[in-house]
Amino acid sequence: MLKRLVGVITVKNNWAVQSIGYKKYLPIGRPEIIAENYDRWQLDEILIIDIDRSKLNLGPNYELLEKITSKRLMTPLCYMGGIRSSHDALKLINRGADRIALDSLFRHNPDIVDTIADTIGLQAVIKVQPLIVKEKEIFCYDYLKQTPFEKLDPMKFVKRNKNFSELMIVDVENEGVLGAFNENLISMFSKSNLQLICFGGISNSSQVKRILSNPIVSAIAIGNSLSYREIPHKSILPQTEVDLARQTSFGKITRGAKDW
Amino acid sequence: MVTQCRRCLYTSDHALGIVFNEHQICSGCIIHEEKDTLDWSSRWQDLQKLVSEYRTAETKYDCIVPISGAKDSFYTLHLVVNVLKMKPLVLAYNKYFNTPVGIANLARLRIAFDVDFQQKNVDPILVKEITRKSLYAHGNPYWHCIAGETVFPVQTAVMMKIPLIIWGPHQGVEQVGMFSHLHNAEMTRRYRKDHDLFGYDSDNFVGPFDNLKDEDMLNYRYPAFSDIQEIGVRGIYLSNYVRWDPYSQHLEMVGNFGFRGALLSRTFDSYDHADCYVYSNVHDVLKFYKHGYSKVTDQVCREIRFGRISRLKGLDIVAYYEAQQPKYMDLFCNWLGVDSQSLQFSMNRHRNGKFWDEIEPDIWVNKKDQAIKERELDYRIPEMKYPNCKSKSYETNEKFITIGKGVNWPLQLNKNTINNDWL
Amino acid sequence: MKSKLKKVGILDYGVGNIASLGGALKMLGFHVSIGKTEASLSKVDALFLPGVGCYPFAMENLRQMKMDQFLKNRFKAKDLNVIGICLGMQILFDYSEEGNSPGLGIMAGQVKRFSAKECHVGWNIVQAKSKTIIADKSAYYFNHSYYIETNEECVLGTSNYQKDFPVIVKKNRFYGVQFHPEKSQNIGAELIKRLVLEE
Repeated sequence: MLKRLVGVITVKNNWAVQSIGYKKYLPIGRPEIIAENYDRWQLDEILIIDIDRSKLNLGPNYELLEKITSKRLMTPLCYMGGIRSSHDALKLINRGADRIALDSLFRHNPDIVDTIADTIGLQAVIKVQPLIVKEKEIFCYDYLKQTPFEKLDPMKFVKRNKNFSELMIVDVENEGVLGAFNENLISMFSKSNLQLICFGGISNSSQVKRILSNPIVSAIAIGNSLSYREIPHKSILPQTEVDLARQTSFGKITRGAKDW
Repeated sequence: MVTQCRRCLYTSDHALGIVFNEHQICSGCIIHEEKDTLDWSSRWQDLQKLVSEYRTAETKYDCIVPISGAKDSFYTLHLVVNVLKMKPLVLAYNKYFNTPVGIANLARLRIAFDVDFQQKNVDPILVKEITRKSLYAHGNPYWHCIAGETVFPVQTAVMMKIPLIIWGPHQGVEQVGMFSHLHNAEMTRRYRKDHDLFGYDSDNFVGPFDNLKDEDMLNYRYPAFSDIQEIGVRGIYLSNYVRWDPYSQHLEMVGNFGFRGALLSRTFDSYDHADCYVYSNVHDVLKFYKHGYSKVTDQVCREIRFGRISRLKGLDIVAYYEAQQPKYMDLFCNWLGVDSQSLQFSMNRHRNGKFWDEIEPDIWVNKKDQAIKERELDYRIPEMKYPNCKSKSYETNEKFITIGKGVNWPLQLNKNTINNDWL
Repeated sequence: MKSKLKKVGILDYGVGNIASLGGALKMLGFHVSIGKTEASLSKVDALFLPGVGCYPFAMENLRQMKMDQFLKNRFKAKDLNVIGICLGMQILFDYSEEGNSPGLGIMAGQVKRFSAKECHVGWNIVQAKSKTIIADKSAYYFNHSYYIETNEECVLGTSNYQKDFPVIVKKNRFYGVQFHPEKSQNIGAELIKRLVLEE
């Protein structure tokens, strides 16, 4: 399996934003244009997170998904934000999402998550777990209440009947801080046989190389820093023969404006 | 529900997107605080380190600097040439909406800084066609200007293999705090398509019913990523490394280099846009129709953040200038080849119902508090001076000479060395 | 490969990412018809069977719509390229462990679950059996928890996850791909074009 780079688009109030520590937000632009750019870059996956939906009990943002799918992108799309039921999940899949990600629903209603996994397939469900360090202990973080709520016990995720395919761990404190992702969080899961996506403060190539060399990590997710320069991902991910296999290069150097 | 910043005047209707924190302070004001907290001498060292990789004695140009006849062109070029001691290729895009002040500034700038200069002039017939489309379909007569200005440096960078482009301020950072200065945000195709061109790049500008063809857009096409990656083209913003304060900078440029401004009808600022008769008039009115605010609000918010204007006074300044009639509409109509009724009709199509009520056919009223209009508005700012500004930006009696360099005119000739016989 | 083929159909049988597949096909220059009945899909030159979700549910829908017979008829008549994607490929086979559900039986083989409830998600490399419609060592996007087990000669290429398993199959004019070419960017786009235009 090839390790992946997931481009994250955090959406607040229907605007794409930079998210810093789950607290501070800076506006970036229109989500669909950023998604289009990620697709042009040929990132491995795009994850859209609408952070208002669960808080305001609004259900999934179908209009947002529609805006993005109307761009006719050919890159895998994951959606997160406001999913309440298997009906929501199926509707999202039918409207263009390949996978969905859940956080609060796992806490409040794991039975519904079971139904979702049965309806759309286990492969399409990602569990998102924000983590925070308090007094040297790692805690699970409730983003709705903005507070840690229980000490992290990785085995708790595996004890229950498995209803997700990958676990995305989010370093809450280091989200938005360049190069700061806490790699100790990964080692907490080394005995669990889960597949991890790491997110929160990942921005440079040496960091990425270390994190991806871990067999339990299948992907890294990057949000804010992808908007800082023109072609950031080529310098972050090591270029391998995989890129040839996927033809992710930008092609040959052109002969001029006629080819642009 | 509209939120307004407690510090400046921006609301959640800002065209670039804006975020408010729990104290209802906007992201633009929060990032502006960095201007007073960052160690700018250290930031300057970072800039020196960055440009030193490009500064070279071997090639003719070690960077590209895009300019116009106003805004921050003088200051940007001053920093690049005089302070960073680089050798720029200076580029400008002819917007065709030039004012004599703008032309004079361009000339003065080139003389003051002794630089090589290229100006892109696209066939004006084509430019008019593009402008008619962008005006009618999107309520924006400025598409070609921004598209041209932002892409010409990138095209040239690829064609002449000059990787570094140096811009002045980053609009997103300065207005809405899109990035922290510390993010060192650089120029991107995404920002251009998203904000400069409101989602319409050259590849999706032309529709099936237009007189325009894809080939016509060649001059506005962004180079392929393969070329950009190969040459390593990057655009940096000086405002990430320098405490950017346009008003103070303009005053300095007036004093040192003879930068000129003009009194504009719809704003108190006389320097930012004196070079263009459309930006401060047609374009400004359309911004008001579509987004509910005008350029004067951007400039007031900027000066509130710098502490030169109080928020309370800012409200009066905005109320006064927003109500002023635009100028040179007939000039624009004449250029575009439409009559003023057609122009008004095209513009009215873009009035945003969120801000405007059509109380009778073609009679529109702004929804803002009418009471503001009745009271005496305190809009004058005696503390802010604007030296070197002509009373009107467009003087038709202005005389020009062809640019030549290196002489003081009229010539001071030594009678003894005059030669009258050359045959 | 010069071709007059331009009309592509997508069978909407209640499971699948119709929006993405339709969008990708339109972007590649094909005319797209999305339909649920034989009549609505009669004039197409190639037909896609999308598929995301539940095997028994998909088969039940096909039976109720009577489109299971339609597909079997098309297979015998060899008059149409039919391309099954992901679940759409799996239903072409005999049987699935998921719900103990019978499939269309067009190709011999069965659908089994990856062990330990693991899922094959992400980009993986396809080993092509020989010079076929798919390039050897090209990579596509996968997103599934079940895989095909077959002895049939229909296998054109395999991938490896827990074991080697078929990811592209062909019999007569029916193709099946386990991955999602409509989500596999450049290389997926090329494959889609070949699948539609191949005669």
